[in-house]
Amino acid sequence: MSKRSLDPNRKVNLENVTVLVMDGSSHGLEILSQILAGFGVRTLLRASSLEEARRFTEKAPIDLIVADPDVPGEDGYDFLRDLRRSKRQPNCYVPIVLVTGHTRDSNIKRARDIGANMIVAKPVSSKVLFERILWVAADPRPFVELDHYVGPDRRFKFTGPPPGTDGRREADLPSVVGDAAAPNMSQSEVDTFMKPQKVSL
Amino acid sequence: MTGVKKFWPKNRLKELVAAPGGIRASDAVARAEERLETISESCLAGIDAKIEELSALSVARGVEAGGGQAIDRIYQLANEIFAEGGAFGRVALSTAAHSLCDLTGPGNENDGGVWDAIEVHVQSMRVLRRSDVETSDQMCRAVLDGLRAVSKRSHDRTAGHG
Repeated sequence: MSKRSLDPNRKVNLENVTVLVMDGSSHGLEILSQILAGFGVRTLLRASSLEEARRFTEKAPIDLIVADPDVPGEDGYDFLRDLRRSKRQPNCYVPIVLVTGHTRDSNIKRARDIGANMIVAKPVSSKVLFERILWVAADPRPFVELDHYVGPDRRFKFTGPPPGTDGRREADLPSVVGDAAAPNMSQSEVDTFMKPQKVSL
Repeated sequence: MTGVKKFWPKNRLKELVAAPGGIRASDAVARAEERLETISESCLAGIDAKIEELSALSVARGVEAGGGQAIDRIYQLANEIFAEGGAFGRVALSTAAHSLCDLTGPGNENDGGVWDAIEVHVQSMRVLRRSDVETSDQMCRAVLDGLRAVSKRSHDRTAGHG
């Protein structure tokens, strides 16, 4: 996934994007809503409970979900995983940006495994959220469907099949061939071999 | 095991974002900041109310609500203060709330002694909301240093080191 920094002069149109925003805290919901409205979003579906969010996903097409899955007394992760598996098109494929408060490793892994496209740690910064929305819009990853997972391809780093297996995909190389002989070189290390020059295009 | 189905669903977000019109990225971020400013007063008042609720829970020490339930609620309130305080630039308050989340979050085996540490956190958050402290980096640092020492003692005790 390309992770370029934001070009301040780039024009972005979020006017016709329908966003479902969910947060169990009324102030948290207000913060996310105001930020998204500032970005130009006109149609904001605001949910402070999973029941409200579920109703929105059953009613109309949604273009983006921005959600804090830590809804008191409920499990927002399960809700989003079930949405991915629901086969209710187009909403089962909607890009999902999770915003998480007190963030632990286990939350991040869980967020990835329920099919979220991106995770933004609270406190939310407007700039970071804006960038992540654009990254998600440009995300070239395919969707994968397995018995236990539906969502964007989690294997985007091309590190080969899981250890001890020959992989499940046609493109997977056997591990004996696919193992790297040495760590990948960084761009700056590569550059030292190439004498980079400044050029005007 | 069934095979992997791989496909590219239509990405409407990508099409809409690139549609003619729209606003410059820097303007979008600036407008979001302006809109946030309009709700800062009510959100900060909400944070103060949450600190008061924390204080009441801390004083009750879980006797009425039941220890586990009270700790869960404390974690939830601390998590909200961490996120909302940070969104309005109250970095020290947000840090103190994060420390309280670490103390009370899932997976912690808290003994009765945790209530002393909770009380110190709540008092610290109250101090960090005072206008003379909020605007003084030095005072904020002093409060947070004290809090770190309390958290370390509490952690060492529950880990059986103290």
